[in-house]
Amino acid sequence: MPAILPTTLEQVRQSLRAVLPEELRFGLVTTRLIFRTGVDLTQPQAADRNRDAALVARVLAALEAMGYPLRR
Amino acid sequence: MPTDPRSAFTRETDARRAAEALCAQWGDLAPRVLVFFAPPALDGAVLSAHLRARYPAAEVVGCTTAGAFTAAEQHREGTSALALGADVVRRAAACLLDFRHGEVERAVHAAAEQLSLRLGRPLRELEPERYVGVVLLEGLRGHEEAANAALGNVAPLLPFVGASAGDDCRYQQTRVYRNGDETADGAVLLVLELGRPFRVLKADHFEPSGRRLTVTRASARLIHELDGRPALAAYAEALGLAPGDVGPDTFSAHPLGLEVRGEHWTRSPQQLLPGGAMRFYCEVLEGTELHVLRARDLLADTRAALDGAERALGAPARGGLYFNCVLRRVELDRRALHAEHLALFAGQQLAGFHTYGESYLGHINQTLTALLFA
Repeated sequence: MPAILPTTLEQVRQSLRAVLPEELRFGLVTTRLIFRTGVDLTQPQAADRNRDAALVARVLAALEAMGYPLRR
Repeated sequence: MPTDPRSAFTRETDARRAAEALCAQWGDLAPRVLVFFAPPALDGAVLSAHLRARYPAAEVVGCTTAGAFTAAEQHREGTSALALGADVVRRAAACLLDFRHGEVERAVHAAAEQLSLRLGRPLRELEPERYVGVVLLEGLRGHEEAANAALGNVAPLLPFVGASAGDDCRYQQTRVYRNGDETADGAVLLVLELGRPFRVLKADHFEPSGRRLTVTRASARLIHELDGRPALAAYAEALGLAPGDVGPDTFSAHPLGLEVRGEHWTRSPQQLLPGGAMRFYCEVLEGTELHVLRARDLLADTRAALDGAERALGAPARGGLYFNCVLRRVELDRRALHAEHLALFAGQQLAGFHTYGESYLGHINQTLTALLFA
C-alpha cells in the first residue's frame, strides 16, 4: 500500500514521534517547528485546527525542509 | 594546571594590547576555542588575528556588543573572553558566513558542508548529548529568523545557542569575527564536541498575566492586528491602559509570550507605528496566540533558572558563555543592579555580553541564554 501524507496535526505528531521516539530529539524538532509554523505538536489541538489543511501542509513542508518527509 | 575553562576581561581598546591582556589571564592554558565579546570601538578582526597567532590551534570567534561581562566585572567598553581547553572541548570547528545579498539559506548550507567535512560527519548526524553549536549573528539586518530556520534545515537535532551582536546601542553596525576575518552582514557558527556535561540555559523574568491575544494580521516583525483590532488598541486594552499611555516602559514590562511546550518564549515590542501597528524585535506568525506577560524580579528569576540548570547538570556550573539581552541590561542600568547581577554567577569562569537578541532554536528577546559547562 502506498504511503500517504498525514491529514491532521495529530497524525503528523504520531508520524514524527515514530521517527523521533527519544524525548530530547522530539523536543528539539517540535520547538523549531513552533517558531516556523506557530504549531505546537506537543499540545492537543482544537478540532478545526487539527484538520486545517493549510496548517497541516505548512507543518509538513517545514518538517520536510528539516529532513523529515512524513508519510503514514 | 590552569582552570579550564578560563575567563578574562580587559578595558583595553587597542586590539594588540587587549590581546596581550587577555592572554596574560589565561596563563598556560592551551585553548582549543577562544570566544570573545568586544566593544565596537575595538578592532575585533585584529584582536582575533592576534589571538589566533598566539594560539594557532584554537578556533577564535567573537562579536561586537552592547557591553561585556565576566563573573567579576562588566563594562560597556570592556572585552570579555573565554578560553576552552581540552578538558571542556574534544573537538571544535568554526565558520564565518556572509549573508550579503540576503542569501542566508545558501550561506548556512555551505557552512554546514564545511563544518561537516572538518568534523568528519554530517552536522545532522551529530548527537545532541555530545555536540552543541554556538551562533553569533550580526544584529541589525534582521536575518535571525532565516538563519535559525536554515540551521534547523541542516542540523535539526543540533542546538545552536547564541545571540545577535550589538554596538553599544548606536544601532549603526555590528560585526562578527573568526580567526582574523570579519563581516558586518553574516554570522559565525562554532560546533563543539564537549568532554564535560553541558546545559543550555534560557531565562527570563516574566509570567503570563492571564490575558491572551491572537495575532490576526502580521508580516515579518510587524503585527498589524491582534484579535482582529489594531494591535496597539488590543495590547493597551489587555493591559488596562489607554493607547496613548503605551510606551517603551510598557513594552519592557509587558512583552508577549509564545507558548512552547508549556514555557513562554518572549516576543518584545519595539515600536509603535502609524495606524496602530506594532513592530517587534522578532517575527510573530499570523494565527499565533500569545500570552500578555508581566514582569517579575529579574535577579530572583535568573537565580532560579541557574539553580534549575545546575540541577539538570548534576553539578555546579563551572563556567559558560552568556548572552544577555540589552533590554535586560537597560533594566540593570536603571535599577543599578549590575553588581548584584554578576554576583549570581560568582565562582564561574564565564564570558558574556549584552545582545541585540538571543538565539536558541529560534530568535527570542529579552532573555538570558547561556551554554553552561559542569
